[in-house]
Amino acid sequence: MSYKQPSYKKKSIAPSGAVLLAVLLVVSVVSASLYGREDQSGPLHNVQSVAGMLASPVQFLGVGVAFAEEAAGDAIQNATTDNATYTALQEENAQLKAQLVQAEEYRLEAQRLQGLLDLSDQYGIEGVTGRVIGRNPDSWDRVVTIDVGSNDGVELGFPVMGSSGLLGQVIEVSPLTCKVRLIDDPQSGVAVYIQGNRAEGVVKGSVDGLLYLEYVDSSVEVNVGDVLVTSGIGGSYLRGMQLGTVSAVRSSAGTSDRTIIVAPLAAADPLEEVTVVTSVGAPLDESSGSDESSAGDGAQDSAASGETDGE
Amino acid sequence: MNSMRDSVFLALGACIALAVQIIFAPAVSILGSMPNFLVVFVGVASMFRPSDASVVTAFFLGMAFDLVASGTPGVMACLLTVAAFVSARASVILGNDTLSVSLLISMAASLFVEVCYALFYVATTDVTAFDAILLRGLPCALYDCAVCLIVMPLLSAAFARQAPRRSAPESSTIRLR
Repeated sequence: MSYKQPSYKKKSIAPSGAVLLAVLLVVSVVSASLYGREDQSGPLHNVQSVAGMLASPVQFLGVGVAFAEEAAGDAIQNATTDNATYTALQEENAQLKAQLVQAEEYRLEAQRLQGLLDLSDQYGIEGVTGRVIGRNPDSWDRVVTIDVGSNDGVELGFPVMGSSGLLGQVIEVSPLTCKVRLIDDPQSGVAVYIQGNRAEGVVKGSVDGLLYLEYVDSSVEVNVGDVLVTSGIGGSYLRGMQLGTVSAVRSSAGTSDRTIIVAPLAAADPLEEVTVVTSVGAPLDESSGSDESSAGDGAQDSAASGETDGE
Repeated sequence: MNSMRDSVFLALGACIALAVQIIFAPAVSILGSMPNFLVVFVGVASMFRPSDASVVTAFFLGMAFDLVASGTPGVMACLLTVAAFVSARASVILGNDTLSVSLLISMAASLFVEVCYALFYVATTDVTAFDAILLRGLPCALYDCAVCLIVMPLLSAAFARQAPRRSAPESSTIRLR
């Protein structure tokens, strides 16, 4: 095997190369330093917001690629299905049809209950609904782009809800788009309590993509299936938003240490609808006389300082 | 004239690399690790075009990535600039006319960028060095190397086609060693 080698004149880099390198490195360090020192409304942050907005149409193309990848995976899986699997799938299909009928009944029931309860009124939540149009192109940050921005009233630090629970927090806003740091990002932390026994803790993201419940008193019993709800401590997130359930509790032999893994309720899939909570009144079951407040109160400070909630 | 053509070619390649990174990288992530097409491009481009233009291209490419990916502006720019400079120097010293040397330089550049970025991440967040390097830095570097194996022959051919004809190549093919 051989292929054409690109022809170039072999010569050592001119002395200006070292000077150029030094200049570029100085510019890099200065910009990183300035970025770290300025606040969220600083010029570099603004440039970053605009760059993020300009890149959003390109990111949106990635959504199509993600769907194509999923479809290709399904097609390959179907093509490689053997007879036994096919029979099993037929049985599963019959079961699913029966469940679908039952689910339709539940849906109609839920629709009626939704109309009666009106969750939005109950929590006094007002928000802007948008769609996930892109994911961050690096391995380090779990950040998604949403197609609503400051023109829609979105501000820094606002919490974001998925279809069934808390999703993350707004960390960057441009006029047309905003970026949301998901709760499973390593830099994210949410103060929560366990719904069953009211024990408090902090749900933190990690590099491996899992959510961990930390800072729970060792005397508190934690079981698989326990529901976690935001406590509102620290001000970054509203109180009472469902976040996830405990999916595993691993104890270390000989010590009281344990690792509690949390399964989130909401997922930030491409084109999934999400709600940016712009303001909140007092829940009806709590102090009914409280004034409406911005969802970003306190959260903005937390987002700006890079602190994690509840720590 | 040729240097202008070189610069335009590098800028065009950089734009394509950035677009590929934004569009395809999230879709091909494995256990959260994504390939960094920018590192691959910078590594290969600086070997085949060891000039100031490739170093400058690496800097602007890194800065654009930092701005688009919500990172700290300047970090990836700094790492890619150093990677481009060192790759260029290494290719001049070691020679890039064998596939093994070219791959070795590209892989070293990938490892350098990913591990340094992991260390920066450790320094600015409360993530442990173990997690950052073993769970992200090294898998990403490995992924970059795999992408490099696929992309390098294609980029090599592209650079060969675009190369100025007046300077004669030292050999007509890359030798497999």
